[in-house]
Amino acid sequence: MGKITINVNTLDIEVESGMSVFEAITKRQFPYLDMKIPSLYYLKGVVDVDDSGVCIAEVDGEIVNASRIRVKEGMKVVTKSPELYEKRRDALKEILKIHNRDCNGCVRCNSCELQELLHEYDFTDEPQLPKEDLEEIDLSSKVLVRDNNKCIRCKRCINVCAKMQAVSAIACTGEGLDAVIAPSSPAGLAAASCVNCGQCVAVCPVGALSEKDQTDLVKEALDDPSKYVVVQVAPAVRAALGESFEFNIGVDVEGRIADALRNLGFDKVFDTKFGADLTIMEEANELLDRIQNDGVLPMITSCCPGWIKYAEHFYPDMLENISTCKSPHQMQGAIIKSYIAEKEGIAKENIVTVSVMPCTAKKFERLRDDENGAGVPDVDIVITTNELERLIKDREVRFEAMHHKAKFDEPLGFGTGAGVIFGATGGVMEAALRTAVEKLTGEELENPEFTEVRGMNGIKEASYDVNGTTVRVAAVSGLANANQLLTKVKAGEADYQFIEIMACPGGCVNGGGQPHQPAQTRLVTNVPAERAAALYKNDGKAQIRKSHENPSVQALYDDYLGVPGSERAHELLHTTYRPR
Amino acid sequence: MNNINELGKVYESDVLVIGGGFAGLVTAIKAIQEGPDLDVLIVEKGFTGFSGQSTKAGNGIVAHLPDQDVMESTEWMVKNQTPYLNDQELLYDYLSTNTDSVQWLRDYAGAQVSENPDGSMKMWRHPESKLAGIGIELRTIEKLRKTALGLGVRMVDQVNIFEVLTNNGTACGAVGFDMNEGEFHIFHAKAVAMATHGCQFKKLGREFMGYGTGIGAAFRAGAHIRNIEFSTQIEIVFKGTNVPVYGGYNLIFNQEGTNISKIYAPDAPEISVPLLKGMVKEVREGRGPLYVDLRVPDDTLISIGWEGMQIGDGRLMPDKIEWEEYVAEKANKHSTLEYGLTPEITIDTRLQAEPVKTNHQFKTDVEGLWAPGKISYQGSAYFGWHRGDGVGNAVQTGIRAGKDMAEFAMKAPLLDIDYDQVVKYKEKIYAPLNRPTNHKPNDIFDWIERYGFGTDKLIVKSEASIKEVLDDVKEMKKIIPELTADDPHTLAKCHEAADSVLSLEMIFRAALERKESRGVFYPHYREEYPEQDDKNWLKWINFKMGEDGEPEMYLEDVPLWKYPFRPEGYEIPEGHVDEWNEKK
Amino acid sequence: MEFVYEGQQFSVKHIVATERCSGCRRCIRACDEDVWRWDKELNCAIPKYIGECVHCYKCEMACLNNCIEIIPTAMIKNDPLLG
Repeated sequence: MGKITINVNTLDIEVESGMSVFEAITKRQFPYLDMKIPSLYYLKGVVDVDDSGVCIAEVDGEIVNASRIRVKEGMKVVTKSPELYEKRRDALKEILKIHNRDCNGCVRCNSCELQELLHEYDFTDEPQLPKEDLEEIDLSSKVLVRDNNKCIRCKRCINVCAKMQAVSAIACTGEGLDAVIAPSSPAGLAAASCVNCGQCVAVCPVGALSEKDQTDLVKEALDDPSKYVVVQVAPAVRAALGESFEFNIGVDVEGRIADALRNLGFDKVFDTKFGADLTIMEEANELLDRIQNDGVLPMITSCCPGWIKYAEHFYPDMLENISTCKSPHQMQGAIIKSYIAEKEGIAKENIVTVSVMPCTAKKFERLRDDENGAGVPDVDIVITTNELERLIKDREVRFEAMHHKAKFDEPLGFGTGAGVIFGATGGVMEAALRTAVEKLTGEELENPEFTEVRGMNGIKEASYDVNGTTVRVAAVSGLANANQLLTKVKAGEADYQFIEIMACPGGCVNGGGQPHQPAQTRLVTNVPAERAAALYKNDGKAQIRKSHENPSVQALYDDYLGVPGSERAHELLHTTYRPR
Repeated sequence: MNNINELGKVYESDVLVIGGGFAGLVTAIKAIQEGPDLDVLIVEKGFTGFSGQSTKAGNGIVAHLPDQDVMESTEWMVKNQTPYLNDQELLYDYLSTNTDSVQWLRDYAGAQVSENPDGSMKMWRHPESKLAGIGIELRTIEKLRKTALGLGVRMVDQVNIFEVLTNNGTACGAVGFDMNEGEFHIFHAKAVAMATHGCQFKKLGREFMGYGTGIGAAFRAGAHIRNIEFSTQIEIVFKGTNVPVYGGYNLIFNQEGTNISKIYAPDAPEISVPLLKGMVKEVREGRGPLYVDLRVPDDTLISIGWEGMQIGDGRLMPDKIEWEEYVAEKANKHSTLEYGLTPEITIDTRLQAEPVKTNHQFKTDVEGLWAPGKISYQGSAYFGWHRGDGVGNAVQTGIRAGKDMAEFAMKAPLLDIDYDQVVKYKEKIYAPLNRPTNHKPNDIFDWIERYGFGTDKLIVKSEASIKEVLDDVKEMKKIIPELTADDPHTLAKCHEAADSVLSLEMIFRAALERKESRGVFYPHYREEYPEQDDKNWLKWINFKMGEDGEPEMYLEDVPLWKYPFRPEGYEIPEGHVDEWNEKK
Repeated sequence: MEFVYEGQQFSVKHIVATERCSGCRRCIRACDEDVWRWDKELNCAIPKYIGECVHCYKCEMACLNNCIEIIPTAMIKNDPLLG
């Protein structure tokens, strides 16, 4: 990608070549000189050509779709003019004929990409769609809500589901603003082999797709004096919740979250970092067992419920490759309902466990069979990062006033650096390697960092020589990438001992429940990479960076579980899968 | 056992910054940078990072250029602003580091400054003062907020502070209430900064400055007040819209077509009192209305003295331009006057008291209490502002105060709060609530606003007009204890009214005392003493709170024996030696 | 809804399309004079303390749904030069 010079709004500027005019100018970033070209449908890698009608500019005297034309040396571009203003307005007017403008109460108010454009283009007279014309909202899924009255036909959901996730639960018939966008099964999203990954929610520019809001259930539990409400927070949440309160992208707000949850009135505030360490104990044990005793290989991670459901639909014959370990928050929920219940002398039926996750699929995961180790559900309520934002704001907790160094409660509040990197693609792999390699060699790791599995590439591979044993690993994110890799594995073209699969591209930091960022921000900043960097920084500063060195985890085994893979560990911390 | 948690919601920290505007944010950021383990908390009556003067007027830094001689710039400031009343040491120090403000903001706020297309910084030079202007985004404060949050600074919004808590004379906290529900809040800290801006007097000027409660709270905690008589600002505005002209001072014409600027103020590049007096004369003698003649070549049009300044030139950042154009469009749309190139003008007077006395680290006379930002613009006596340097002032004062506060807080103990003091202040703060009386805060504000209907009280003062105001003050002080409110908003206004009267009293008592005229920018002018009197008035007029709670005046000689720049004929007073020249 | 303030020196009118309020609360945040408050019954933001308005138009510019129109109905009722 070289640099070329173009003329924009009468000024000569240097931009990158090899991309559209829209991308080149947006990436150049001139807040000082206001060269913004608006966009609505565009999202890098998902919808690269924006046909909404707003992404236009004058190029060499002609008004064109700026996302369709490649930038060339010496081009003359005009990004704002009265004519462009009117044309963009006309495009927005057309979109308003199909979008039910119901901002007050809409879950995306203040983070809606259409709303920002309507504000910029001075819209004042758009009514809501007539009530008779409104479609019913699709509530068939246990996880996602689809309000077709807000759909603006950008097709980001279709593209992400088909191309990045290889699921195609949402499909489209027709063209332009008349297109009909619907689940690929007439019985609704749930029936269309939707894996609940929520990438459609993550990419939707408006409120057409969102997660099922369960904050009311949390409030009910908090307000019920007979309930002992225990909350836990996933690693990826701390790397992104700040964005909901207009912090910079990539700020670790771990302490503030603990303080805020305490202020909300939870009886115990735990950290899923602990659960992640616990998962590593069981999973590393399982991996070593399989390697040393000719077990089924490659072993595939099981903490991503999007991947699990995908496997159940599309790779039913590989289910025995998947680790039997539950995901961290499910393990932690089981321990809360057994170990903590006994320790605190509280009946497990009176405990309500709430998980704050970056993930929409976990709303489905907690309802699966065999996610009730203590005879009651491990996890009662799952809310996403976005729902936590709403809860904090609704209950008027001043997030900015929270202490940034506050700590979680013991004994399930301490997690190692290995636990926190679960939120990034490659993190589970690296955490597992730190424990597995030390166990295999019997020696202390000089450097706990396995940087080969870090980064935002969709497929990462590495090979480690551990005391004569070669351990080949792969870390994949995005289900289309998983599909590609597993096809090779099944065909015998790839030989791995251990594979990490995350449904969401980039890992949990880019989950379906994470704060939204507009497409132009995502073009200029690699948002998942920034969030992941916050987690690696957290790990880098940690005193203890290997799961098996977590003293709270060691105590749990000593006090209660015995050893990894014990009978009790299996009862509480392992699960099953079935073809769908 | 008396527990202050029963009195209100308590927030404890190491450093407390009152005011979440530009200066408050810089102070907090610097403090936590110097002391990363310090717990730094900002309390703001609005929304930290979205409130304050910089969100409308914070579009520039006026800095000394690195290639200029600092002594030359200092000299120009000393002789041309509020002559010879500067703390010249502080002014020199300020000018030497003010250019660094830009880099500091780029480093810690990712601030966008005015740039040439090739990315180099774009500056405009003021030909005389040897300063340069740099444009900065109005949104820079939002970025500062993000920086502060990322470092771990805590922020409490929508809580309005009215009193500083002290323990044996050392500041140890502050109290106020939440602007929505009215809940009493108590802040407990080792080091306190009052970054609340000055007193702008509601309705006299509209740029989101303070309404004096910070000055009042500091004063009652023991802070001193200085240079408050230099609080007058005159603006030439378009009649009918009240939008400042920001230029054309040399092109004011009367209805006979005479350029009166040439007559009354032939050399002035700024609005001066003689020019103003001339304008009044012309209008009252029937030769008005006055207008500015814009039908002249651009190089004749003097704006605020900046070489090469054009709106389209990128002098201003897009967000400032957007706002200015918005205001102008509104004004034009709703004004009944014809404009064209000869718009009618009048004047708008603003009183802006920024008088809290500080040392070179912007610490007040109260141990544990600092006053960064505009609140001490006059009080610190550096008198180094030039139009457009609010942000520069915020950064320079914030950096100094923040560093000093961090050093202090890392060593100081957390002093106990005096329970009785909190009870007393809580009573005082809520006293107006539902009082069965008839007076509203607006009674006071409207009264003060009427001073701006003429020029004799606020600008062209005389002993007679000053005494009229001081008589009014006596009456206002009888009304203050009769003010009533029925919600948190109006309750806050009651205290703003009381503290506005406090600042008003001090301005006019100082104005009565100073029997001379001095100053171009924020001039003090006495009709009977129209000349600058360097023989008798190289003094600072100060106030502190007396035993009776009232302002007690005291005078101080400006220590020019320590400073390089002195007026002609200056003699070192008895008891002092020429320290400056002996040092060399 | 219309909100009017008649002052001794200047007057202002706010025309607020309350039915289109999105609840974003940017007006409340933008205002430095504490003019705007959330009205629970009307379910929208209103310029409750319009007497404080200094017609800076920050709220009008910030409003996401462009619901606010501020009209400066009188600006300088008393000309200081006339006294």
